[in-house]
Amino acid sequence: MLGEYEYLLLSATARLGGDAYGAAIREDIERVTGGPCSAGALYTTLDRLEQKGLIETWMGDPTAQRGGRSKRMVRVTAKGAREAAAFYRTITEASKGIVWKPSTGRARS
Amino acid sequence: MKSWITNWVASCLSHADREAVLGDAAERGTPVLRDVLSVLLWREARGWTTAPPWIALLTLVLPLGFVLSLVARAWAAGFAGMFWIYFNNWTWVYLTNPGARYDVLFDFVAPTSLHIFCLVLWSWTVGCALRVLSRRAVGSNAALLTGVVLVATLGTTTMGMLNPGNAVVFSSAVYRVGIPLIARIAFVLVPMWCGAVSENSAGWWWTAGRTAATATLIGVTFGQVAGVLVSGWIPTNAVQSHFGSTMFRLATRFQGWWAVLPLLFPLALAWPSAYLLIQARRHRLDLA
Repeated sequence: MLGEYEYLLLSATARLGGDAYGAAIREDIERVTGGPCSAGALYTTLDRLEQKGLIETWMGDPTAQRGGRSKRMVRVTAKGAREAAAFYRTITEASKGIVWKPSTGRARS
Repeated sequence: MKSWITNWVASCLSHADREAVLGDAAERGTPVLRDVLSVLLWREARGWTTAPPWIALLTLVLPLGFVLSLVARAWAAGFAGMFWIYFNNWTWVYLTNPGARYDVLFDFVAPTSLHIFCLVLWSWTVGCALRVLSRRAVGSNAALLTGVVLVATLGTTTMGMLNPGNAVVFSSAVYRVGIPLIARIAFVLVPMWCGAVSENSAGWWWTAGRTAATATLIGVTFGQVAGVLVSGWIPTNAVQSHFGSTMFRLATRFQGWWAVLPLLFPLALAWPSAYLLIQARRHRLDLA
């Protein structure tokens, strides 16, 4: 099963579609979570997901906006999409009938 | 200065990583050094979740760091004595007198060159072995090895430094501390890091030649390296004021089964090149 951060990364990649690359994914994760996303966490997780066959990455063309450096482009594979869907189903199922109450630190069923 | 440090740290990343991380930082306007260090540290930390970095730590970093530190310090003390003789007391007679010329060549230049060559070759081989064995955590293992090389001799001295006849040489901090430190940095740490961060893998014949050279040099200096464990690592708080009684205590240090220990000391230096030879042989068979 995927880890939480792996799911966030797969979701951001799927949302960004053809524009998914390191900096864009990082910004998307920061927007969704409201917290910082380090470059180290991002790139080591990309490596791990690629090793598992859940994403594909390749180097894009260099751009002037990036000081003439290339982007590491990312795409979710079919296997990655299946794993993300399974993770989503599990979390949705596990959350059924529960309303979290952050103010009291408790849940109500 | 900061940009020089950033470029140097970024050079530890692969080309693809460097492009992606530096480009992302330029695009987002985030501090480049922080992003590069973040990627490096995460990569290193992830490497330690596998067995090879731990094997490298136990079989290369700790034993070889100790051996290289002791041998470099002991031989550097020898360099220091010779430097003092020939540079602090320079006279042209050293070159004009045939007997003195012979001494300069065979008591100073030849043994010093041999020792420097041995240290550079052995340290470079250890760096290469670290890179092959622990590729994913080579930076942290090389940093740990640097620490071991620098601290292994703290609180200890050598027989040469204790000898009252050498007191005039080692009363100077330059000879007592400076030259041994410079020798460890220049002839151990720099070659070790060069081997560790090099991206080129040596071929079969080159590796075989290096193994033969390492084995030959271990054979040539076997007695000297084994002797370092006896005379090159004397705890300072155990030193007695009387040199003769200290020598007697050292002479009785390795008795019975313990007498084998100094003999294992130089053999430890053969392990990294033997490992590299086995790996190169395996690679060659895979290609065949």
